[in-house]
Amino acid sequence: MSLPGWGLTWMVGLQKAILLYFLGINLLYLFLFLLSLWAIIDYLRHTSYRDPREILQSRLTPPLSILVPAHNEATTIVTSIRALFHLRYPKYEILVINDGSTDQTLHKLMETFHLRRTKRIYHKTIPTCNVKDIYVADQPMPWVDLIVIDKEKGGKADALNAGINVSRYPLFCSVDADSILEQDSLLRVAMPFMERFPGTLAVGGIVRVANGCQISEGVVRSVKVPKRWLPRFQTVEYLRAFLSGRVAWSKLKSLLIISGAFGLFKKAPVIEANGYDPRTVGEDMELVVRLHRRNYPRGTQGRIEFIPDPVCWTEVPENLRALWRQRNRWQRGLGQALFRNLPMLLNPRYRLLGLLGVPYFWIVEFLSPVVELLGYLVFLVAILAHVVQWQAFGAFFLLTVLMGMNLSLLAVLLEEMTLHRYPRVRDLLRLFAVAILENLGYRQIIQLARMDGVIDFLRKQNVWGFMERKGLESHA
Amino acid sequence: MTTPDFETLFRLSLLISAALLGLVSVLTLGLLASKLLRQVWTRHRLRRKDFYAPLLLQVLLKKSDSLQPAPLRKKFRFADAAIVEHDLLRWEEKLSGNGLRRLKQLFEKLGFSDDETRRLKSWRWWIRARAAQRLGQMECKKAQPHLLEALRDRVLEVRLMAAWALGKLGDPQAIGEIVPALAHSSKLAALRVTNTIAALGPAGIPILEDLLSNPDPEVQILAIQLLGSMKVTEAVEPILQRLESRNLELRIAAARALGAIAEEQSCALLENSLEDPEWPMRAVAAAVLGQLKRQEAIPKLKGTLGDRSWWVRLNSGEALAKMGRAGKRALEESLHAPDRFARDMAAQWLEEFEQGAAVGAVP
Repeated sequence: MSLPGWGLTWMVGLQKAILLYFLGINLLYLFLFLLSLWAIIDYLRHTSYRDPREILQSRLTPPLSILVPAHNEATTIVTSIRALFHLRYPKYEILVINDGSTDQTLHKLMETFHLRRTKRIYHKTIPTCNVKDIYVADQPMPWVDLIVIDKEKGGKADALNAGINVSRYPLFCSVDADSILEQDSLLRVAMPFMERFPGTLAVGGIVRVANGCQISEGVVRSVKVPKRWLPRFQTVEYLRAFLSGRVAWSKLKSLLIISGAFGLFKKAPVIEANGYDPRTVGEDMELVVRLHRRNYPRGTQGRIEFIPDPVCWTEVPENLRALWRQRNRWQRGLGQALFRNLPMLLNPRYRLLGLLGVPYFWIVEFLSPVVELLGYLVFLVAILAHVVQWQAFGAFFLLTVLMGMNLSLLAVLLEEMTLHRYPRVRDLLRLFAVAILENLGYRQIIQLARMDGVIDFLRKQNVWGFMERKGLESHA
Repeated sequence: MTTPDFETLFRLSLLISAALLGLVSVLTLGLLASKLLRQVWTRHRLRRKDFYAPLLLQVLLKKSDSLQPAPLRKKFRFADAAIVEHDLLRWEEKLSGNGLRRLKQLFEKLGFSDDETRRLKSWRWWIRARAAQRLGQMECKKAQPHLLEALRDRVLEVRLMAAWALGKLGDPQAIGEIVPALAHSSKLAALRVTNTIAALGPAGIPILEDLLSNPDPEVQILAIQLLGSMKVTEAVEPILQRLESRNLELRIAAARALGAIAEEQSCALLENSLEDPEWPMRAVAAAVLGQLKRQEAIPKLKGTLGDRSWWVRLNSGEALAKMGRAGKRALEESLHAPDRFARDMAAQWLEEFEQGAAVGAVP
């Protein structure tokens, strides 16, 4: 196989561009790591002078509503709700939104918590699908109200909007039905609101992998690295995304995502922004980007923050098919959020967010699977056309592997240097091993799933996909 | 490779990756070294702690009131001062009475209060905050002027710790400095100040009342909150005047404080607040009237059941649900109100009333 002159020029140019891309993001990641390290240490120093018990005992603490959207979550819903009763917070209500489940979700809730139908009025402050009934439990705990909203299926965003419409308190916290919040997590995530209520829009906490941990009565008793390899890889991925990524972006006031699994929002600005967008599959990111977009030009840019110690434990996929579907959906959601807010890209009105944050999400998060897979392809074509030798391809592969390894190792180090959630040396060594091994196969599969997501995004596929649950307490 | 610049670029990329790997290795080694050092330090600290514990006890248990710490200080070797200081601070949490008094004297005589006062000037804010905390914990009175100065620190944590320490020193005059220093900070700061000032007791009340005439509305708001949380009935009159202020936050703080103090004379004016042009004020007024179970307010609360703001409607319904039979009757009558929103809210709260679950919501 031989290439014409212009083809040769293009091929070499493309190779240079790909290498420059990898070089650039490598340097950016190093900068983000150093920033995260500084930010976490600074945060931990500040929190050592703040006692969550003060918030617990204060009458100034704003009450909040926990929204739990549930669609066919019969396996996990009771455990998750019970775990929410154990949270330490002065006053909160739990709203479970049964989004057209076809399994036993509603039945299990009614049976376990003795729900009764209420005459509560449903006002569509934010438009949603029809609500069939609203149920309340007879005071499961003195400081908690449990409300169940039974509605027609409209997707997660629609369910959250219904929850916002029924909620009574000025703050709401979205929590996934397959997740467990740590006991003090609400107190910690509410801290920025206590420090500057008018200036804070939303706060996100860290999501960690629950697979492998010992969980009983909705409480994580012992933290361990998962036994199976797929969740292990995801453990390191989560550390990398949250500790190295979100901490740094939050510090740069350019945080574009608060995980749907755990985030605390001020209700009024979300209602003003018309709530979650039910047309997207990445409703969590889309809302955050939209809040930024609405608030920056008005000069009322409230802070959207990430803090690293309020923990939410979540069950991650244990088989490749479920993982593929999840990553495909995340990539589509990312594309939708970015595309709908395209005017923010490189827009100086949004300051660092528009000039660095949004371009980063476009170039690195959204396009990285395209560039990496294109890189492999270009090198293969170049080898076949005798433009480069196969050793060069080997060197390119080594480069991507080394870079990936660096990032994961830095994330594990960051975890060990600051938060120490994995106390056993054995677990730490396992995480180091995972950080190295994930680059030899796992990462390439994830990039393929993300590429699939990019293609589906371009084909305007908007399917959520099914997620298999084992149940949180079955992992120990 | 086809062109030299391409090759350079490629080599550069590999070099950067290798450098990153080097960085990871250095950090890992650093981490392991720090873990090792921490273990060595813990062992050393325990050894020295065991050495000093009997000596300290000997000094503290002596019958004579004159402490003789000089010989003890002479024994100090590398880092021993930090170990002994740490121990004294831990013992402070466990001792009381005469033992505690002698412990605090010993802390001063060993020179730790001077050390901590010097640390109030450190360039690292966490050292300054810790110094303020320790000076407060050991009630070092001679550090008061320095702590007052620390109230103007640029870092909130240092200001909060200084305020807490001043509260521990027990001089009510410090309130006049603490409240303005923290009024602009946050709810968290207000919370800390509340605890601090509550610890100072009634001696601080006149100073808080004086702060009501401070030109800064934020200072007034914090003073009102504090007077409300301390349930100072003498302050009702000046707080009532703030219900007519132009500043919404001030009006809201006044209404809440009056609700906490629960004086009859404030109720009539609070009823007028149900007609305030701002909905947050109307909502708070409704909530407070419900909290006070003010039966005379029922006709007005029936009216605000149809308010254009959902929060006002919700709080009015809740207020009526809290007022026993008369409130229930008012809710039942509102089921036939011409306004749809009033009817809906009345139905909702009647149900809550029947379940006995009228719970508080705030805007």
